[in-house]
Amino acid sequence: CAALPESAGERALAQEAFMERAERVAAVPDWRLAGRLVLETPGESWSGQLSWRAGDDSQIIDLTGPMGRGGGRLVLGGERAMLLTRDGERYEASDPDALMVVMTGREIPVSGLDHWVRGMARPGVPFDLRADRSGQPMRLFQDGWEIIYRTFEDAGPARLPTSMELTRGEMNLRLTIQRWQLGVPAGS
Amino acid sequence: SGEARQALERFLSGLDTYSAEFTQTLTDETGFLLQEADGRLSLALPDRLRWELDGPFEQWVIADGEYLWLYDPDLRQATVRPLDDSLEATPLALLTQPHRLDERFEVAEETVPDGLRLVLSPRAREADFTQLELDLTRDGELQALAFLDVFGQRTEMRLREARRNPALAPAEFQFTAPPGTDIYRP
Repeated sequence: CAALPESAGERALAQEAFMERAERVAAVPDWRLAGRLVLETPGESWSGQLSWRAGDDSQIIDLTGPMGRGGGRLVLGGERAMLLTRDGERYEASDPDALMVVMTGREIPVSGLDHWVRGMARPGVPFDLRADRSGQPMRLFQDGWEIIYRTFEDAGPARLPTSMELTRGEMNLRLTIQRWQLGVPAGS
Repeated sequence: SGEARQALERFLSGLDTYSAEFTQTLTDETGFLLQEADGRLSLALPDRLRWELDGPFEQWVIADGEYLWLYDPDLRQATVRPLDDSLEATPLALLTQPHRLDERFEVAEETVPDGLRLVLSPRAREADFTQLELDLTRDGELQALAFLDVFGQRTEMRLREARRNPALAPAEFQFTAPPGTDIYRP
């Protein structure tokens, strides 16, 4: 990718380009991805399929473990978030991250991932950034998470991440995205 | 019993061992393809099985006659549970104990374009899948296995290169944990 910006001036340019990129990506409210999520923690680790469908006012996040088991479905929309597990349990909360703890036993930062997975920072929250001249992020620090972006692919308004790694404390999340689809309403 | 059930009986009659390759697809309720990978399945009835999925979602499932092992090479982690309650871990366990079909499932039949389909609904309420499907030809060839979950996600394995009663080494159905593997017993 583009040379690493050294001087403060270049860092400011990269940050500006990053914000412009974020606007272009945010201008497409309907997107969906399919990928593999690996969650490594000191205890039992977990790997499985992640499917994320976003529309302008709702999101559906599916986690599926090996052999189509485990995990569940998180539905975000309006004030409440809802978790449906595969064996029929149902939970509601205002904070989706709390529901992720119910589903996976770990704090998967859903409210942050929504933006990070598209190479953007969560709005209104301070962050630290290393980006190239085109504004494409290499490393992002936010909410206590270090996010390293490894590969991207062309996907319309901007190149979107296809492999990334998130670390906070003893938790490590690796996400490889096989399919991006933009501009398709979440329901269809 | 119905045609599809007879086809399953034909598939099972005289079957000691079995091996096949497959392509597995995972689609969601809108039909969007989430995952596609190839793999291999081998059986030694009644209670041994090996299932390996390639690609980014590499997984192994091994039933050694007593335990069912689920191994993730990427995580270097295996979870193991007694075979008899392992149906929850994998619908594949059905293939290891076909004689317990009626005990575990309500069985129904459907005709599908190029064959017969046995539709199995688990009697256990807390099963993670709402339906299991076995597609067979009239003369008892197993074409596909699929399972659906409560969200309408469908995992389907289409079989090919099937061999009946191939010679399979005992080691095929033993799980030897590679060095550094964490083993969990839920």
